[in-house]
Amino acid sequence: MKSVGRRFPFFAGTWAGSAPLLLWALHFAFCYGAVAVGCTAILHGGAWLTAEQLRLLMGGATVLALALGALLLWRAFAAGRQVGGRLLPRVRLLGALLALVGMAWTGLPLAMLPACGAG
Amino acid sequence: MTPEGDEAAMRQLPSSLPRPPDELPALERVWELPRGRRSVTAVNNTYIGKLYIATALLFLLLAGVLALLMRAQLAVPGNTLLAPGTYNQVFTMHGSVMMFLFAVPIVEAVAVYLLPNMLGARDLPFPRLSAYAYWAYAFGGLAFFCTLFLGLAPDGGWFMYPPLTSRVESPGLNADFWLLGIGFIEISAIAGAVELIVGILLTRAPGMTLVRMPVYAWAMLIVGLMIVFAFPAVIACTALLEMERAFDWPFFDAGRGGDPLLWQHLFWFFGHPDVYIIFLPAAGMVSVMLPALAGTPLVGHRAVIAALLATGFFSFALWAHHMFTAGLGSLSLSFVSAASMAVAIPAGIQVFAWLGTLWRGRVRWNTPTLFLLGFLVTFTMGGLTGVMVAALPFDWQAHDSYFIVAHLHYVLIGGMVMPVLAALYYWMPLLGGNQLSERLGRWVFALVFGGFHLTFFPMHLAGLLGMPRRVYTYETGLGWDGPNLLSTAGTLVLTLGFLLLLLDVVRTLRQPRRAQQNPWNAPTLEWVPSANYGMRSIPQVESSHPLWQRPSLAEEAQAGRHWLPGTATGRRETLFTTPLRADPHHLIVLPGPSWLPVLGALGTAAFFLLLTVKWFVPATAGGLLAVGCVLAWLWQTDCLPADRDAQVADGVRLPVGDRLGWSHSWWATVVVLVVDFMVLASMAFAHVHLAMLAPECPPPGAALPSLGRVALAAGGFVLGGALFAWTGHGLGARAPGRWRLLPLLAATGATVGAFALLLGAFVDTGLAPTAHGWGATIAGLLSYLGFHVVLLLVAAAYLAARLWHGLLTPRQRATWDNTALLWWGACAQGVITALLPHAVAALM
Repeated sequence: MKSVGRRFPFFAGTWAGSAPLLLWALHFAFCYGAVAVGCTAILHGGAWLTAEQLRLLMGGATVLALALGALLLWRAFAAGRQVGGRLLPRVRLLGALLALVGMAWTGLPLAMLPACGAG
Repeated sequence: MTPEGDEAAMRQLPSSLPRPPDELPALERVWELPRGRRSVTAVNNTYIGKLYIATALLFLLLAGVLALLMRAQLAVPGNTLLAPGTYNQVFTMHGSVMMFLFAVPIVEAVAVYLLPNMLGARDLPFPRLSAYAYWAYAFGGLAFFCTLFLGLAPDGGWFMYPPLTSRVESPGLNADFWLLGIGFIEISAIAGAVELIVGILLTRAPGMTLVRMPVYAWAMLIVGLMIVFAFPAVIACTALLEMERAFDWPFFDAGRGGDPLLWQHLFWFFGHPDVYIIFLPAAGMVSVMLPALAGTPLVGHRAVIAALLATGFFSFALWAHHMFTAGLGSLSLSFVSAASMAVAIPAGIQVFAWLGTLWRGRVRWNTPTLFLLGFLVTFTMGGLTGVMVAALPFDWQAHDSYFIVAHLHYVLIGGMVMPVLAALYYWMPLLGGNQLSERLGRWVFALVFGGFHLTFFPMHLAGLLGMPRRVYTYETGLGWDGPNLLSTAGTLVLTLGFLLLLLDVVRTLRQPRRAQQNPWNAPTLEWVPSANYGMRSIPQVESSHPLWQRPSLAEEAQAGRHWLPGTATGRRETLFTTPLRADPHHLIVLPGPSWLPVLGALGTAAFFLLLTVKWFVPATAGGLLAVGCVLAWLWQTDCLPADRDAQVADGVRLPVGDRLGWSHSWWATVVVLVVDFMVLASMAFAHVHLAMLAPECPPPGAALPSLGRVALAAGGFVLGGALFAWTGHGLGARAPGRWRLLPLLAATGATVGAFALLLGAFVDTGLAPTAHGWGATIAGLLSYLGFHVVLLLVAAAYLAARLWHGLLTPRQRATWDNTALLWWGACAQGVITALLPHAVAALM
């Protein structure tokens, strides 16, 4: 990755700046998709996991996403202290913070609602 | 700076004085606007931008008249001014015209006009594409609006939900006009996105690094990317609904395995980001205007850029908050509710940055400032009601009531129209050197701001009192009479404000032209005096606020002291700079005036509109005209001057044109390819969605072809792609001979053969698109693939002609490079389309 970054600094910067928000998008898509697919499968009786297991799966994914988000935040903070002054460190840091809040927020209903409850 | 330092800095400027006497006349001649009847052939961004802005404002007025009619009808209970059917057409057209013919076009129009100068480019990278997009929008939009006078206007609401808009419930042509009419805005918006992304990343003034780039350009870059990912969903859903209406393929018919919610998912996956596609440019304008008006840099400049980026991301998770009452699961809705609230954080960051800028600066209290304050108040109010409706229990009560009508107008008028009005006052001096009247401006602001709140605040109350949206009248005694009468009175005040503004704009434009000045002491490059060619020389930028950092910059640029002070090749050109640091890399040669964009747009408009009324032969003629014009202009533009390099500054020569990743057209094709794959993703989503709803997959009575046959078809697409690669093998070193027509023919044969094999496999298994939504989605995917095969046939014929005439050379290779991207993209789509139904069935 480092050699790619040296050859294509624009793409390396774009990746570094957007990685936390891409992680948020991935987490959101996974949770939304898992509920849609999992609950449909449970409804049709062809699922290989129960609604509670589905909820635990999403909870596990959320914990993993939060850990990765925290890692990205820490790396953004460390990079910001080293480089300082330019655009990318600040965008990276704020993006990581917003992504972490967004993922925590998305994960909150998992603690309160059943996976396949009625709308 | 000392005189010595001054002198040293002057010596460092890219070009020295005196400039050759014939340099400026040559530049003026090359960029001259055609006159008289040929003026419609002009492609300069300033000319097209002005037309674009004027047309979008015309649609604002027309849609405003429709709003007046609606408010007149609702002023008193039991009114009979408009018949119910007419009212349906009026509110549908009001919403559709405002959203598709005003809101999205005006933000792109302002960008077409403003961005090149703000970035220091001579023009956008694809001027003919801008012209084509504008004319397609103008012809199509006006024809679409005229359906109202023939009683043929759509009447299913601006988001056209099926089953109301199905052939059964809406049997006339009205819905078809909406579905095909929206094609124009799709073309314009995507063309705009290509221009914006490529222009902003690759044609900035030397030294304008990403951090020095104006926030408005950042906003437009993010908006361009959002269009690329959001608009394909509406292309897909309008195509699916039109196919349902035309061929009875039941994508949205619940009785035959379709699902009306599929439309809602796809439409709002476009529709909600669209709200931010409209808002972010306005936010970008605010971030550029406020520092000039407050005389201080934007507070939290980098945080604002991060907030714009985060808003762009979050906006894609909000689509289902328009579906809170559609019966989705409570957990799914809660995810979307959480995302809807999360988006308030980056919006809040921007609001606080603007407030901080006002706090820190010395604010000049003029009309643009007043409109910006009006924006802050109104948008914040709309944002707060947005957080309210993001909460599920509240939305369940307020959904489809006038509370929502109030909320969306607070966000859209507050968040977009008020900044656009501020922008009109702020940037008007660029049009002819004259400012709008400050005295009248204060009246305009008072009438618009007061009229707006008088109109829309009572709608909150009407909604909370239970008034549903889209009713053509109501009974007295429900508590709705007062709020409705107030709203109607407010509309009259608002109208008066807009009429006064119109009068002032006409008065100002009729005044004699004056030399362009910088009345706000703004720091950005669009205030450097410019002409048809943009700035005389492209400035070297050293800060985020170039005109503040170097007050002499405008004078130097005008004197030709910076980059490219004349025409280096004798043609229109601009600098291609690197995306990160904006270092000059090579020279892009730009095309000049031509009839082709306007004729192509006419053909496109004729194709869509005549197809709607089922005049197939004239529609085909229109389509052929459009394709012919596009091919002719491509033929002309892949043609470089004889010189391999040209002088752009003292002692600096740059190559003329470049290839692959350094070619602007290659990047444009990459953007188009992303759009193309997003359309496929939307169609694939439709297939997965309906497959999940079916009791089994494939549904009873349907079958899949054998895996061997579809794998063979997929192999055919891979072979087609590989053979195509052979046609251009060694192109970097020497021009390919005519014998390369053979591999091109073989590539075409393999690709068409693979498609025929795949189609045949599904036909043999008895694919019945009218029987079940599942089969309809496969037919939809095959139709989309068929469209690509037709496109490849045209591309192959075009490439063969270029090859035959010896026009493929190592320097002149854009045709092959771009066709290769399209070819490989289409072949990849073939593989996906062949294998997807099997993969989905296996997973189900």
